[in-house]
Amino acid sequence: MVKKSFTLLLVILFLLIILGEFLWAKVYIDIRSPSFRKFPIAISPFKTPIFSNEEMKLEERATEILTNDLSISGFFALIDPRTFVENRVRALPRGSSSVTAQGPAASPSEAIDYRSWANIGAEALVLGEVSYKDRSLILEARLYDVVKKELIVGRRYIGEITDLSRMVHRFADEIIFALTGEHGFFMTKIVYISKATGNKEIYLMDFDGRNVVQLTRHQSICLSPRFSPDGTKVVFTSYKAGNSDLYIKDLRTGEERGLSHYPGLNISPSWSPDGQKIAITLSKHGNPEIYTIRPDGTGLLRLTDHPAIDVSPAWSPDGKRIAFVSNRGGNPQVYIMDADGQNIQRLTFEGNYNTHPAWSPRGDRIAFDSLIEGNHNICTIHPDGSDFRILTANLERCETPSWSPDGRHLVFSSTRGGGSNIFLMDAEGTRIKRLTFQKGGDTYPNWSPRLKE
Amino acid sequence: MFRKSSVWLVVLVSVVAIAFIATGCAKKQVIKEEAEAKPVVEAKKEEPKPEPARVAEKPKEEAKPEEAKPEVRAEAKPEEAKPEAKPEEAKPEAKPEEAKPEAKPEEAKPEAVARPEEKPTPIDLAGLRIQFAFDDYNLSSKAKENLEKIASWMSRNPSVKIQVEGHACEIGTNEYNLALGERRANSAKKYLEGLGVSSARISTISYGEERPLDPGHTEESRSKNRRDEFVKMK
Repeated sequence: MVKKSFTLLLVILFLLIILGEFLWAKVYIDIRSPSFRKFPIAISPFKTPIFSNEEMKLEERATEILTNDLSISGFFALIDPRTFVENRVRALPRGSSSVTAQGPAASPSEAIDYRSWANIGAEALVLGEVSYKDRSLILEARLYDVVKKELIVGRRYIGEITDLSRMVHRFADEIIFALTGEHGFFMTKIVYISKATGNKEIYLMDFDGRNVVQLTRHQSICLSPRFSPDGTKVVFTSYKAGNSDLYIKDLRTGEERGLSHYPGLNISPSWSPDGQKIAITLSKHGNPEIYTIRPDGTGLLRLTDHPAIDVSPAWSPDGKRIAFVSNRGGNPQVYIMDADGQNIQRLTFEGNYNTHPAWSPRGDRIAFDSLIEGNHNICTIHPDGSDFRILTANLERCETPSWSPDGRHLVFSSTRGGGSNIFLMDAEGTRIKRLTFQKGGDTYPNWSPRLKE
Repeated sequence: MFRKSSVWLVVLVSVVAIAFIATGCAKKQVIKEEAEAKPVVEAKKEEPKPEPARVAEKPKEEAKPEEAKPEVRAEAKPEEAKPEAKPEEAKPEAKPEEAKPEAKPEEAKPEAVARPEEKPTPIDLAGLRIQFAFDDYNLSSKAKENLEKIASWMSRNPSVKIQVEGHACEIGTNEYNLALGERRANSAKKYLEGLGVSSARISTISYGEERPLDPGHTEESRSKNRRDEFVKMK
């Protein structure tokens, strides 16, 4: 009897503790509500100690990157920095990196004049400091609740000089998680094709267009780069051996190996969400059909069998279905089939040229590009065929949409302003932002999953 | 009984204590992390910093894996040169190319003797390129006419092999256009086979919209780009 009641007590205590955690965690922004209010936040310009190298303007860059991140997220109303009164913020407690911990004898919150931030409309405030010494970069940043006058989250990062943007993106992710309860997407990258060297090669950049790196030097034609679901590899088409073949590049080691080199087309790869298969298009029997293959090149399996063109497979996030393009109805349209090739159904009926489907990571929309009145536009549709929406207009040729990991944004290529460049917009088609500015013609963006590192 | 319950008491107390410590820490983490060494550790984990550097180095390494797979398409290598020598743009270049095979007798040892005698009769393959309608791979009567000329030339020159290049205009996504180009190339190949040319003498490749004949963006240039090109192999 005693034993039983003890056990019961134990269970109850546990439940209380666990539930308590949830009850105390406040959600500041309910982003699941379609009409959520943009959360007013102030980002005080990052500080830097006098001794750090001023030429690099690290603090300005940190402020700029963070402001840009939060602005792109769409969750925030950023308070105009011109309304800030600088001396409202006393310097953050600082000291040598090892001493910082003891600093808050006067806790940081006491140094902040919350009322003056509240007066300019801020409900949250970000304070930060960047310093660079002894060849290590230190970034400290804190997010405060201005109304409750308390610290919500604080972080301190130490790394190399080249890590600044990564540190800021990580803190931006912390802010999103602390305020919304969902994970942000600032630690992500975009692969794309650029003709900057004269040949189409694969490039990698941060989701915000920074830190561009050239990945291939095939001096041929590279096309259709797509991330593996863990973000460590990219599968793509290249003509470097004379034919359109598929390759996989490991982003950590730089190693590159062939995936398939059948006669004819080896194109339009799409990695399954569980990472076990890659859906591809082959024409080894004379007609473009969709197959799956394992990442090691074995286990080739044919999914479609139709005299028309079948191309551009895109997996649903649960891996159970595949959207693809077929002209079996007379012109290219998006179709959906089960992952084993059965149960093919036509998805798009608007217009006579719909290609390049991309299934939202949330599963609720499929983006594709559609030829409307002579121009390509990015559209989305519900996977049951309802709620067709055109997202772009007057943006010239918009092609190859790819979703952000949170399903709230899309990247695509557009020829607005001359050559083709990569653009970013939210899933409603508003707040369009240009990410690349090369004249070389940038196409085929593919957004990575959230990267751990 | 007494003993048992005291054991339970100890267990209970310790479990609750652990639970509190665990959750307490989790909560305070938020505040403390910046104060304590924790984030330092966390941040240090980030130290796959060499990565950007490695990424940059990759391309150098690339060369090796490439060399490792030459068997993949050894015979295709000469093709690499071809695209630049695309027919009409580069007629003068096409000739030196034709000359090359003779310059490399080791490539064709068995035929080495036969070759010089069987020098193919000249033909303007670039001039025989065939056009297609938008999003279409059916052969027009003009296209069939050109293919018949090519077929008869091939029957007169039985050692000749050709590659049919399928191309598309810039409208549409490249992946679909690659598929379309493949179908266009195959349309021509099938027609040639129907005229008695052995399929072993005709290879196909699709470049989609990647190699336009006319880089313009007008309908006129686009219609020029919806085409098959014929290239003599080796």
